[in-house]
Amino acid sequence: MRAAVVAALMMLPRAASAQVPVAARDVTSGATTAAADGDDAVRRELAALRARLAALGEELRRERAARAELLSTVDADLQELDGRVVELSEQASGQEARVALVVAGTATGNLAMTSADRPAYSAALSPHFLWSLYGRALFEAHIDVKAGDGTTGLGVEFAQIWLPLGDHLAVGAGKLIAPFGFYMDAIHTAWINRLPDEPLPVADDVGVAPTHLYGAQLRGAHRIGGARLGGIAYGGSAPVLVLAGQEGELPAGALDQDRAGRAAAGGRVALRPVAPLEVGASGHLARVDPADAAMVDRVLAWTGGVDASFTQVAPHLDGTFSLHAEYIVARTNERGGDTYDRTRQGFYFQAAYGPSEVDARWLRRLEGVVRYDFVDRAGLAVEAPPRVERFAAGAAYWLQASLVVKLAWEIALTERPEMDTTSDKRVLAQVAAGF
Amino acid sequence: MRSILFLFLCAAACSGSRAATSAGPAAGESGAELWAASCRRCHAMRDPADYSDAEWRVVILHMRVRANLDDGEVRAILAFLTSGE
Repeated sequence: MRAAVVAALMMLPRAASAQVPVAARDVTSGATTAAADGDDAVRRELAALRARLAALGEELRRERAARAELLSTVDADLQELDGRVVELSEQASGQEARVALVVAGTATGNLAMTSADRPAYSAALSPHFLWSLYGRALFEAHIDVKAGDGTTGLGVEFAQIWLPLGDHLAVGAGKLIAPFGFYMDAIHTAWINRLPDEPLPVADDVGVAPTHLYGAQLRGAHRIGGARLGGIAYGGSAPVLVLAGQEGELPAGALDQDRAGRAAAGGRVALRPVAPLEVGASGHLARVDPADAAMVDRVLAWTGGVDASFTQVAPHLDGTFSLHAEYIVARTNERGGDTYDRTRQGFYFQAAYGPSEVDARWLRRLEGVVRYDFVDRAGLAVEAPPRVERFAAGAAYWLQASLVVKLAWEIALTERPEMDTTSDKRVLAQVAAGF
Repeated sequence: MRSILFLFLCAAACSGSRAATSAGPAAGESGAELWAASCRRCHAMRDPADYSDAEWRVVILHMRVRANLDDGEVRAILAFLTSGE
């Protein structure tokens, strides 16, 4: 384009002179001079235009060179940034792929006051280690460090490794909390449980349900339309029967859950027909006679239980209520004898309500709780089985979702045949923090 | 015992209309809905800001086991927890 313009301009003088007729050159000298002056002016203007064009051309070349250099610099910077982004992405991916450890857990401070005894204080720190292996496998361990009334205790509540199998299953192995029923598997953690103590059927030492085993478990769940069906199957070690003459902290006929004896297996099936409601049934069969005992033949202990839980926001009540209940029955049967035959049963029902939908923030954090529970702990056939029945009422104040202050009043009625029923009242307080 | 069973059945019946409009166990639930429905059954819902994204990826593995969640539900809940919304 520029070359065409220049060529056109170059053509102007020749064209101008070519268009002047010969006859016009023969005009008087004045006309010739005027024409010559005009030609000079045109030539000067043309020269100026040429010079200006050359200057513009040079300026255009400089601008293009500068832009090319700038683009080259920007391209180089962008390439460097791209490389840096890739490098950082690889680092991030590498960090995700490496082992990741999260330390969660619970801390509690407890106070129990009765009219007969002095107050009992205790505290516990229970770190929960979650160790993710390449984002797929999980190793978790829960340690209990307890102190109270001049005693300290350290124990491993559970330690197990989990591996997902496909979309719906997970297999775990190690020291397990027996996945029997709902309470121990889901809500026994102090910052989740709404009362300072545990229901009798699942409590340590006095409970009816199996508590721990060394073994493996398989869990899975599947949707069926709008419902959900879940299942757990497990197998491993069994508790050990305390034999007559070998009593220690536990009476004869009790099952020592801290010892790993012969074999046990069990499972739970749970159905969630609608989101807030879950109903489950559990079974557990164990051979509990000590391996080294010659005085007893095979002793089998089977345990069965049903459970139900319901948690729902109730707008017409301006709050959230939750219901939990479990019934557990356990039977020990000795082959070839009846020394250790016994049946135990336990039950609890807990109801909680919190005005979670009201405007007042301080009120939304409050939750009232009531619970009824009992346990029949049959000892040996020759002993009178004690039955303990309790009623508890309390309140939990949730400072945060995992920080709660609990206060409860509890009355326990203990029945023994041929003896008067005794009642014990106590006040319990607890601060529990989940981290 | 029968009165307690009756109480559960009444509660389930009364929740029918609420369940239909809230986070039910249906396909297509959002991560937020699954988070609310799965976590509230057992405990108060913790703030997503309680843990970093990397920590949630570890914690959610524990909750997959405890709450018996499937892989799709875990991904949806994790996406919600790490979305910052």
